[in-house]
Amino acid sequence: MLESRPGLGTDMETKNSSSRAVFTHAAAAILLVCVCLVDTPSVRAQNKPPILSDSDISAFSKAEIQRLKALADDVTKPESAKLARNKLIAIGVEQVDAAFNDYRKKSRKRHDLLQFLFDFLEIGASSAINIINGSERAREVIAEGLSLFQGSRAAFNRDFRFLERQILFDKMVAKRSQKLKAIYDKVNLEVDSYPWEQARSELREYFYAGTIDEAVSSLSVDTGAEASASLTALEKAKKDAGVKGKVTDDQKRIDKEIDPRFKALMDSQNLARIKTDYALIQKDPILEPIVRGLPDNQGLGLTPEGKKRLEDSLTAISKGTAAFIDYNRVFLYLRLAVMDMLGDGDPKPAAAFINVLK
Amino acid sequence: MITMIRIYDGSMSLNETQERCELDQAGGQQLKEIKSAILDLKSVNQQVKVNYAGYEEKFQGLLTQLSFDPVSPSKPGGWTKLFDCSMYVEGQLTPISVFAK
Repeated sequence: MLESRPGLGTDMETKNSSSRAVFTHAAAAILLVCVCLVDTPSVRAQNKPPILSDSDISAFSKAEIQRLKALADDVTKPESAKLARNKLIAIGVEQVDAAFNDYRKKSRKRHDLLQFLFDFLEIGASSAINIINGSERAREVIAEGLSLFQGSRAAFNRDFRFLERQILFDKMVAKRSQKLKAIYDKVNLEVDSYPWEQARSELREYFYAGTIDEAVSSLSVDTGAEASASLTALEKAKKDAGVKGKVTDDQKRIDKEIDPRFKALMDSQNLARIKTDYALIQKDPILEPIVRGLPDNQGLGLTPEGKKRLEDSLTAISKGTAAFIDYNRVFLYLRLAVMDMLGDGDPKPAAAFINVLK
Repeated sequence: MITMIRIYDGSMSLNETQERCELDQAGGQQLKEIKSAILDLKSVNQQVKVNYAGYEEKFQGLLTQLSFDPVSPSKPGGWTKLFDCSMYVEGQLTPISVFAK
């Protein structure tokens, strides 16, 4: 029992008060550092030059804006209407820019301050675990508190897109620039082609381009478009390299039409009949060039031996010395070529081939 | 002797590859071998898994139906074993026996 050991309670109180003193001094030192940091140029914003003072310029004068609107609506004086419209556009741009820059400045300050506070709390809690001279339970509580804080900070960063702030602002700047260019490209148009109402609508889009929602949406669209473009490029590269994919439904359907006719012709071993069909191929404007180009058709995948055999068969056919097997060979590779073209989206050669085989 | 080599996308399923081989050999080419490889597509700076399928001319007695199965010495029902190979099936290297009838 504590009462029977008079020195113990006094030692505990001494140790606790020392720890408290350490904490107090550390907090004071850190507060001093914060005050110094806040006063550094990199933390403070720049002072605005007098000519851009909000209270003085026409961009924020309601009376001036009303006057210009009345002039812009007066179609009997097109030149002054156009000038008034362009002035209103410039005023609109200045107001939107002022709002955006103010938002960006406040966001930066808030972001930097929050990040510093989060870091300070994390470091502080980590240090407290080591400094504190209390029971094991006290350390556990602080450690649990630190874990809770770290988890909550991660959720905060994720859900509020805290760490993506710079990416989003970059996207906003890019979108705003696009919208502004579109507006300025039209300032030379007359008011009947580009009235103030249309310009105002586009200014509204310019304003929205500088919002977080628009930036997030734009980022999603751009990322999706990039992914889609990458896939398209990959598929094209595969196709150019002769990589074949799965058989399409069209290829299956057409092969069902070709196969029995092709098989019947080849099984007949009828040289006269196959010569007649070959003559039809030679007259067909779609099939003739395909046959002529068969030996050099990279997509077929002919080996040197295969190419030689095909070339020899075509030579024999042209000389009139070909056997049935030579015609068989040419028909075989022509069938493959038209099926490949069907797979690439061109059904005409296959249709022409079916016509010949009928 | 191999007279034609076709390149097939290694991401295809076993059934899709089998259908592709059946289509390509139709009319007079018998599937002879399949070899797996990695193809370097320099234009998009990517590598893709492919299967090279070798065919041999066979105008008479072509075995038109194919069956791609897990490795086994034989298959009942009149199937002739063509060869064993290791090929990409849905991107994974897989040992396969190819039968035909």
